[in-house]
Amino acid sequence: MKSMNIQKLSRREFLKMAGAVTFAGLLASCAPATVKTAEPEATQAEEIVPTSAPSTNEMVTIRYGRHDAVDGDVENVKVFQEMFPNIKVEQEQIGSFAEKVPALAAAGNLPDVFRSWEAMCLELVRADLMHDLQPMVDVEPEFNPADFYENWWNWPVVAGKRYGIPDVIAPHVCFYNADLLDEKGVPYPDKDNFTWDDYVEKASKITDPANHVFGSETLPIGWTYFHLKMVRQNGGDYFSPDFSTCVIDSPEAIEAIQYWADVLLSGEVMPSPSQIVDVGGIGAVAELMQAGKIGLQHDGVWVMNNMILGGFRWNVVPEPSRKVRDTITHGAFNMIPKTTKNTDAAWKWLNFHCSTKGIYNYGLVGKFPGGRKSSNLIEPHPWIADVPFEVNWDVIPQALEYGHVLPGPANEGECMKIIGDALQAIYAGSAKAKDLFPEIAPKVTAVLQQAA
Amino acid sequence: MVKNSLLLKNRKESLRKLRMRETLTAFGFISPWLIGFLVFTGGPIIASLGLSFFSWKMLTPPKFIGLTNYINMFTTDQLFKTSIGVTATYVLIAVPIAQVIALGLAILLNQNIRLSSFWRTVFYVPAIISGVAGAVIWRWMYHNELGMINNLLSMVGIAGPHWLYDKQWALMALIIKSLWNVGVPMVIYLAGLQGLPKFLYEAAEIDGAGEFVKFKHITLPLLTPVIFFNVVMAIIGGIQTFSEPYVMTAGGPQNATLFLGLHLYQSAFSYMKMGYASAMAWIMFAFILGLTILQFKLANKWVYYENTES
Repeated sequence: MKSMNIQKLSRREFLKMAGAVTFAGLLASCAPATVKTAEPEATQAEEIVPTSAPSTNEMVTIRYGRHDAVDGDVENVKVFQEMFPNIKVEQEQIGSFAEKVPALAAAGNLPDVFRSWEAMCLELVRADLMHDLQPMVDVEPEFNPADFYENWWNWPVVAGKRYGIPDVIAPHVCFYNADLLDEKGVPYPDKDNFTWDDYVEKASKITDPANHVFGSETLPIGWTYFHLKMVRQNGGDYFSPDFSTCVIDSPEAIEAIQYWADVLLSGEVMPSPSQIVDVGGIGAVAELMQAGKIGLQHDGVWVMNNMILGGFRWNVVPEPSRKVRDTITHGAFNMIPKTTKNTDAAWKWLNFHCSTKGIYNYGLVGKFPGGRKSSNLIEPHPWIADVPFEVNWDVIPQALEYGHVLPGPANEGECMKIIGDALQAIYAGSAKAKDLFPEIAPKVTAVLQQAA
Repeated sequence: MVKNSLLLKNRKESLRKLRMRETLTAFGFISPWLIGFLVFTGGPIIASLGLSFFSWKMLTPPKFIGLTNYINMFTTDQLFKTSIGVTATYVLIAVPIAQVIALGLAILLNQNIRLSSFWRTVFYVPAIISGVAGAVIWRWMYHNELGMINNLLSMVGIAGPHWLYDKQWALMALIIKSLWNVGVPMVIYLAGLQGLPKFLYEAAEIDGAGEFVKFKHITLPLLTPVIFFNVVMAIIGGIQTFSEPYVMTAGGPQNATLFLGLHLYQSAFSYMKMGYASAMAWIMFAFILGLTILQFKLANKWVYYENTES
């Protein structure tokens, strides 16, 4: 009896089957992802959503997304859920925030409420992904928009529509190491009259490179927006107010950046970035000050918690100024995407989180002042810590009066890349601001206008 | 006769059904992997090809723009040209040096030395450390004042450069860092060396050949297939370099370490130009494919296989 001769699968047949399966995969994955545009329900949500409407008994879960750790808002969530037992707030920390938020938006999976950074807020608004919150604000009793700091309240408004509401704000101020200044016999900065020249003079008197002691912390070259505050302190800016033009080629901006580049390159005031990078970790400045290695630094107040634990005497004054008293105020805007299925619950949470007490509770964790003036009247003030020495605490909330929000230009990433590359060259000494800025300003303007 | 042909027909039919059943069973077993591959790898790859003809900023629907992404890449994007230059320089320097070192180490380990297993492990361990962890370690080692490298140099009276913050030295720093992964080609060379026929060396010794002559006329020619494999893989890996510049330099200083992979990533996630980044990914693929085909064609001139005529 002949044995059965089983023929093997031919290459052609295998390829046919593989092609069929691949085609199926192609159909499933080939269509470009589309961003969900406003659905009819979202259009209805554009209309006034009265929060005074009676809540249903149905349990609703909303997601609240932020870039920082969720324990920052635990108290608010607890109180809110007691007030609204049918609304559960699930907090989520969105890691790699700048990359993930656009991906979440493209997938239509943004949290029901999330805190967006400044430029990202306007990018999402330009893409028509966010709810106009003004109708919700208008029907909310006792909302009191005048309670917010004007520059923050008016920022996320486009074509008369409001898309975000701020909560806590972290201004940049100048911390100084009182112990080190005493040791070096350098007078403390005058909080009412502190200029760039004062800063440099004091820092240079402290600097002792042989012993790795520097009067000032270095300049973070890779943080392009950091240098904006110096440009503004000299009366310049990166962009025009409507973000349509790059104005970094103004004499004020050129002068500002070249001033600080010359200071950095002199080696007599601050260490180079290569000397200081990766030294000390996240609380680097506080640790460096504690070790007696740094005399002054001007950065955000988020270093406060580390400074308090530093175990040395320090104080705070406004950012040094040149022509204009100015500083950066960091924060975020709470927004509701149009893809949310629970607009009413989302607004309830947002409204609570951005209330006077909500902002105060949130600010307590990071020691930040609030975007609402009333939240900054509650004692004990979040930015004040119990330390055994005198500190000019008022400097911190005062910075909110004259400080400015970071800009929100279109195509921000590309704009910052061009400006950042120029700053790197200037701070490395391989180019001058007066040569480079006129060259890059039109390029940045072209990028800004690509989105128009 | 008719009965026989009917029998044959039935037999063929049953064989066909059996074959189909076996094929479907086989596909059933590999379907989890196949579905995963299509959904998470194959499908996105094909989708990216489609996306490369669109302008897509992720927040708004894609817009068809034809070949504009590809044209802009080679005409207006200066950073693309910079990244090609950086990547090419890296590959041209790092690959030959790594192969020479790897082969040298393999030859040393192939000697009858004490603790050869220990040394083999020591040289291979860096290969099992993740790219990011290794990059962080080397970032510390390159620290201007506190790093091990400048401290060692200072012991012999050399003032080390600012490595990752020096435009002239940053790329060289990454090239040096890449050499700590020579363990991978080293073990492959070692396996190749251990597979060489000993009788050829014995015959050469009888003829009075010295070590260098044996290496040049026996070891190297017989090792060319292994060298070819290692060089091809190293070039592919070199062009795809990403984690080191991302972690250690972010492409700086002043784009001195802006690799093609990093520029692609920044185009996608910093500038939100997904369509453009997809086009760049396909150009990278084309470069790698083109170079690999070229190497295969050139291999006929210098790679010696035992079963071919010399």
